[in-house]
Amino acid sequence: MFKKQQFAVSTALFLLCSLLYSQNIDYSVMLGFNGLYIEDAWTPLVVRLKNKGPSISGELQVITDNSGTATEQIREYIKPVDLQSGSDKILSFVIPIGHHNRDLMLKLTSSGEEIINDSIPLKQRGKRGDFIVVVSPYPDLSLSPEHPVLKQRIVTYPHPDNLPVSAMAYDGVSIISIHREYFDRLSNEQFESIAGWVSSGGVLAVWGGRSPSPLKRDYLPVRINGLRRISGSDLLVNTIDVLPENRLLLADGFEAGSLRRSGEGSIFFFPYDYSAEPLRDWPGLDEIWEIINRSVPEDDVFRSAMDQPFLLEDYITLFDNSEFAYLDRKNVALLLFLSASASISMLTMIRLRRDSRHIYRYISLFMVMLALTALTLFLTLYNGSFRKESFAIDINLIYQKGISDRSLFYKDLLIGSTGKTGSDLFLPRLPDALLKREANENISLTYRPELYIENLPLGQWSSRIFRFETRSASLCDFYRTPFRDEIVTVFNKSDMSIRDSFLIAGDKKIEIGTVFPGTEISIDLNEQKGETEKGESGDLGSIVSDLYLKPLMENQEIIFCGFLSDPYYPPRFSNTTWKMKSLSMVLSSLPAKGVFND
Amino acid sequence: MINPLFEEQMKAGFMNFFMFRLHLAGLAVLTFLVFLFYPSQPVSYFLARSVKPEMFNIALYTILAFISYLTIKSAISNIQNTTIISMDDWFLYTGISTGTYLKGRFSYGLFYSVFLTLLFLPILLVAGSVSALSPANLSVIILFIFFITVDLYLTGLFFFVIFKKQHWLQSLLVWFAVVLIVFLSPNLFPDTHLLRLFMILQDSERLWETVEKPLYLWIVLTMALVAAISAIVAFYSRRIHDRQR
Repeated sequence: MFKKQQFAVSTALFLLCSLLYSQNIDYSVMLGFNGLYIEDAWTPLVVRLKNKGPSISGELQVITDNSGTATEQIREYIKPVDLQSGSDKILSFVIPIGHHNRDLMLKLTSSGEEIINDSIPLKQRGKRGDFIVVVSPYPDLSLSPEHPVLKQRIVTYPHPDNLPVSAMAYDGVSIISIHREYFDRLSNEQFESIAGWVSSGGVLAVWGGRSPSPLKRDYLPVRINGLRRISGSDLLVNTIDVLPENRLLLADGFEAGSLRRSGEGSIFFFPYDYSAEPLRDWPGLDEIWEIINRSVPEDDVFRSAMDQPFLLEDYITLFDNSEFAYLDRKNVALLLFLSASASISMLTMIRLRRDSRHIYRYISLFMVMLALTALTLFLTLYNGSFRKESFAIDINLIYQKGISDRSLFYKDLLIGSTGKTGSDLFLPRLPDALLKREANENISLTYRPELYIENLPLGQWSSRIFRFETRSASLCDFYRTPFRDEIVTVFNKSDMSIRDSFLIAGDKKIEIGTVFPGTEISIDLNEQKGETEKGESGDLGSIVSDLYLKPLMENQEIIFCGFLSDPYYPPRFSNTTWKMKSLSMVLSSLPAKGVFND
Repeated sequence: MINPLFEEQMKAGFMNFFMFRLHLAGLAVLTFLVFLFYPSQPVSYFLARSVKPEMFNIALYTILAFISYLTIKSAISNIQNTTIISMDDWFLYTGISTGTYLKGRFSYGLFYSVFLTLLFLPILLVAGSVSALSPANLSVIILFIFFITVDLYLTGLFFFVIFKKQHWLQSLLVWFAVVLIVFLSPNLFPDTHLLRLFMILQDSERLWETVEKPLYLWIVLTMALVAAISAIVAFYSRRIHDRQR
C-alpha cells in the first residue's frame, strides 16, 4: 500500500516538475508572411522566445529537410541564444523551404540539454508563384478578382512589425505595396532589406498617406513637401516636387504618380490617399496596377535557377562532376547503334548455334567479346587523352547590376569548378564554393572554400557567379619543340584571337600578348625573364585568372592562359550586361620537364 | 563432364525461342527509349537548371525491370522446350546428388547474371556518359546491378525449392515479393531502398560510405538465401532418397 502511494506521489511530482520545467520558456513562431510561404524560395521565420525561469544561454537550431527527392537536402540554421530571466527575444531566420519539405524542426539546447524540441507543421500552406505583400490599413487592392495582377500572384497582408529584416527573405516576393504611414514606420533594418530587395529586381509601391513626416524621403522618386486636403472632400494629397523623367503618366495623360529605377527594381510613389471615398473605386487604379505589374522583371532562367535555394548545392555538384562528356548527337547515335547492334548480333549468333552441344562455350565467347566492347566504349567515353591538351574554360562572371549603396542582396557568391575537366589539367578535387550571405545569415555549405575572393572589389558586384564550362574542342595547341624542351609553342587554331595571353612557369609569369588566329608563337623559357610579382590591377580578367590559376600552379606545370577576344556566351542568357562581363579563358598545360632545374 | 542442371538451364535459357525473343525485346525497348530521351538541349541548358539529363535513369530502370523479369523467370521455371521438370523429378528419376543439383542451379544463376549485365552494359555506358556520371560512380552502379541480378535469381530459386515445381501461386508470390520489396522498402528500410540507392550513387562523392551498408546487407542476404536454399534442397533430397530406399 505504502509503495503504491509512494509511486503515485513520485509520479505526480515528476509530472509536475516536467510541466513546470517545460513552461519555463514560451515560444511562438511566425513562418513566411502570415503563415504563407513560397515553395522553393527563401522564407522568413521569426521565433519569439520568452523566458520565465532562470536565465539560459544556448543555441536555437532550425532544421529544414527537403530530402523528399533523391538528394539529401537538410539544412541547419543555428543562432546563439542568451536569455536572461524574465526577458524575451526575437530571432529571425531566413530558411529555404522546398516543394518536398518535411515539417521544420525547432530545437533549443542549453549546455547539452534540450529545452525545446518541437516541429513546426507546414500544413500545406506553401504556394507556387510570387507574392504581393500589401502593408496597408486597407484590406484590399480595389481590384477585380480577374485582374492579371491577382491572377499571377498571391496577396498577403502582414503586419508591418512582422516584415523580415533580411533582403533574402523577400526572395519570393515580387511586389510590396506599402502605405506611407507604414513606410515611415519601418525600422532601419527592414528598410535596408527592402531596399536591397528592390535593387535586385523587386517592385516597391508607396501610396500616399496622412503622415506628413517622411523619414525615408530620399529613397522615393519625389520630394514630398507636405500634405493638403482638397477643399470640399476628404481627399488628402501630398504636395510633391517631381523630376520630369520620373513622372508616371496614365493613358489619358493624368499624372498618377512617379517612378524611379533602383538597380533592377523600381520604386513607385503615388501621392493620393486611396482610402478616401472618391478614389476607392476609381477606374484608373486598374491601369496603375497594370503598370506596376509590368515593371516586375521577368525571371531570367539562369538567375532563377541560382536563386533556388535547394538547387544551389546541386548546381555546384554538377560542376564538380566535370566528366560531363557531352558528345554531339551524331557520335552518340553512332555509339548507341554500335553497342546495340553488338548485343543484338551476339544474341542472334547464339540463336544460330542453338543445336551445338557446346552452346555455353559460344555464349562465354560472346560474353567475353561483349565485355571487350564495353571496355572499349568505357575507355573511349571516359578517357580524356584522345583529346588535345588544350581546352577552353569559359567563365561567365554574372552579377546583378546597379546595386544601391544602401544594401547588397547577396554579398558574394562564388562558385568554382573543380575536378577533372576533361583534359590533362587537374583542378583541386574538392568542390570550391564560398557562399557568404549577409552577416546574420547562417548558411553552412559542406564544401570547403579553396578559392578566396579577398582580392576582388566586393563593393561593386552584389552577386558574383563564376560559371565554368569546358569545351571539348581544342582552341589552341600548346607543345614543346622536340629535343628542345625549353622552347614552347602556342598555335592558335580558333578563328578568334587570344588576347592578353601569358605563361606561368613555376613562379614566373611571362607575358605573350595577343596570339592572332592561325598564327603561332614560340617562346624560349630560359631566355625570358618573367615577372615574379603580380601587379594588383583592377582588370577583371587578370583577377579571375590569378584567382583561378593559383590552385593550378600547385601541380608545378607550365600553363598557358589567354582570353578569347569574343567570349563564349550561351545565347539563351540574353542579358547584354552579363555578356559584357563574360570572358572566355583559354587554358593549356604542360607537365614540367626540368626546364628550370639547370 | 558438364553439370546436367547447368546444361538443362542453358537449353531453357538460350535455345528456347521465347527467351531469345525476350532478350531481343529488352534490347530493342532499351535502345528505343535511350534514343527517345536523348538530351536535345546543350549542356548550358542543364547547367542553368542544375539538373542532369534523365537518360541514364530511364535506361537504368528499364534494365532493372527487364533483369528482374528475366532472372526470376529463369529461376522459377526450368522449362526444357516442352516439359517442366520439377525438383522432385530430378531427384526421383536421375538420382543426382544434392551437391550436383545446387552447383548446377547456382552456377547457372551466376552465369546468367553476368550474361544479362553484359548484354545491357554497352548501352548503359553510353547513357551514363551522356548523363554526366563519373566513371567510378558508373562502375559501382554496374556492380550493384550485377549484385541485384544475383539476388533476384536467388529469391526466385528460394520460392522454387519451396514449391518444388512451377506453380501459378509460386510465380504470383515471387512477383508479389519483388513488388513489395521495391514499393515498401522506402518506408521500411529507407537506407537500403534500391531506387534511392541508385539515385544517390549517381552523384555520391564518398562512394565507400554510400556503398558500405548496402554491400554488407547484400552479403548477408545472399548468404542467407544460399544457406536456406541449400538446407531445403538437402532436406528434400534426403527425404526422397529415403522414400526410394
